[in-house]
Amino acid sequence: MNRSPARHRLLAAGLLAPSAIVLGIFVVYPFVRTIWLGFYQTDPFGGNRRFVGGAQYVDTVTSSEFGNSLWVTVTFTLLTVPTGLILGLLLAVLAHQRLRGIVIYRTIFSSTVATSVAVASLMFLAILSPSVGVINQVIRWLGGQPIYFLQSTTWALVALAAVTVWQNLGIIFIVTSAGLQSLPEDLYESARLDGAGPIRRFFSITIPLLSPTLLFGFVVLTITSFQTFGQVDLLTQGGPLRSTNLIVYSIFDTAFRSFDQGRAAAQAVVLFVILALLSYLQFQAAKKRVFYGR
Amino acid sequence: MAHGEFLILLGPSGCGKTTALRMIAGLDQPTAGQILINGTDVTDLEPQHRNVAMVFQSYALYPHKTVRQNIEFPLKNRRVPADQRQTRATDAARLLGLGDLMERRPGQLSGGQRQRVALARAIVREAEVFLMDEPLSNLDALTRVHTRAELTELHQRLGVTIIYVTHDQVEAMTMGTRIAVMNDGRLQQVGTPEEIYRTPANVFVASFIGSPPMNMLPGSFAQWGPTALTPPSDSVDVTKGLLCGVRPEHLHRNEGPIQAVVTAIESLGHERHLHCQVSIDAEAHSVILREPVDAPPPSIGDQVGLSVTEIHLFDAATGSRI
Repeated sequence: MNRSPARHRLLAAGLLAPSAIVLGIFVVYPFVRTIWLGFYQTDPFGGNRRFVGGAQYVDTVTSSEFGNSLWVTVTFTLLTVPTGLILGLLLAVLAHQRLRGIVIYRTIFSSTVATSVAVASLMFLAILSPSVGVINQVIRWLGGQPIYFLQSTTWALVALAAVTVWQNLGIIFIVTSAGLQSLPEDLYESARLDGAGPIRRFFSITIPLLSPTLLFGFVVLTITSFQTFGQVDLLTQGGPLRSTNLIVYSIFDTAFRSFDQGRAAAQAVVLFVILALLSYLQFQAAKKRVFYGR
Repeated sequence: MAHGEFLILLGPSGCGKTTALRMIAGLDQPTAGQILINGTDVTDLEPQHRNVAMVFQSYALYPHKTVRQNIEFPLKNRRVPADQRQTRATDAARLLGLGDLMERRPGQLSGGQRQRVALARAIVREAEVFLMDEPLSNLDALTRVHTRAELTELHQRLGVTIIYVTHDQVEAMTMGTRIAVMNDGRLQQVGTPEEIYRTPANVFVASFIGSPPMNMLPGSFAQWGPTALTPPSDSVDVTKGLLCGVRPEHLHRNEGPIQAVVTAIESLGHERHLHCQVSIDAEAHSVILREPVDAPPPSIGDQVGLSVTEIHLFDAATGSRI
């Protein structure tokens, strides 16, 4: 059918409209509104807006409180991302073996993806409990003193990291398992004939060919680490002594406990910039090490 | 098999030739029997300890490594010093005309070039046996003809022992010093290409080798054969329980005693295939005969007289050659 360019454009606009409207309402508008909000100071009830320019952004970047949250979040990311990625990959490699009943293990390994943050947090609350938790039971049995994981400034972040790693295992397991299944079997057979042992095969074939999947996992885990909220709210509320005050929890605290929405908006925008920059740097750094198939 | 031989494992799809090759490589375990290489039992050895090199049907090149890294990989695994690795890889690449492609990745090569890289990776190992699993099947017809000749030349130049799996009888007949024909997981016959073609051990080998295939006819067709079968007495029919095999080139259209009707004509440019129907013991049977194109062409439906210059007799019950 012959259509004029104008009709073509109209049709294209019509077809794109539903997606554009949804994206506009739920992504673009809140994003622009947040940036805008960052330029205004609000009273504790969210009213009486006063334009303060970039002052709140400057305050956010220079404040020691935000700096502490950023440092805690970076530590948390360093604890969760490599551990989650390595454990998920190891489980995927184990479950990739052709063994009887391996499907049961695959189901178990991927089940954490279907567990909510609340359930995972409650489970770990029980596991880490100083009085009835299984870990402290073992410590006592070995003759040690119980550890107050969630009340200790040393252990609270590690405990949160453990919950997060456990919860992320499922998704990393599923993604890397799918990646492993797409690797051609004859490459491994050829490598065996070429004299490569299991470790060499893993590092010379599996890791390079799985690198796009691993990069994806790395970026996704980093972003979710920076956005962690549920575990903190349910287990530590940012304490003790702000040792688990991750950025998103700090934003929540500023917006809904201190009712300072303008400052919270500025913090959210700074977090967005940090994440965008981090993702860009990750892709740039990985460019030479990731093999995309050509 | 002897050292330096080029043995072809030939058979239809699913006959077990690739399985046999994989068992020699150590990628699959045999349920019975032994595998000996140079007199050493390697049945229970891991593939890396058998000193065999293999070229896979898909070439199995490491896509993230360059041509050089692919060729050097087996040497690296055997901890060959870097300078030796480089020299040997360069030599193997030069032998196969890959000198200019060393820094490319497999994805940047043509099918023929990838096949050469796979060969170079096998050659650089200096293995006892080279195993090749239909290495030409992914190439286009023209490249396949070139590569076939190159492989034969390479075998002669290096004097290595090769076991080569194919279902293509042209490859088998042109490349192999000996052919092992397989069917249904069993070895049917081992022999030189000429032996396999001229004296097939059974009906399967006779029908599988040759294009167009050998005509299989009832035993009484032997009455027209070049040598009369002499019965011990008049009352015994010696042709009973026999199958008579006739190659298409041994049937001739020359006013002979066998009456046939032409049903189809295929001209291939350099030769012609005639599909005819002959009546044997009041039953119609189809036969194919091959003749040169310079013979005057018949028409479909023509009555022609045929003669036969060579026949093969098989036991109808067992299929074995008599």
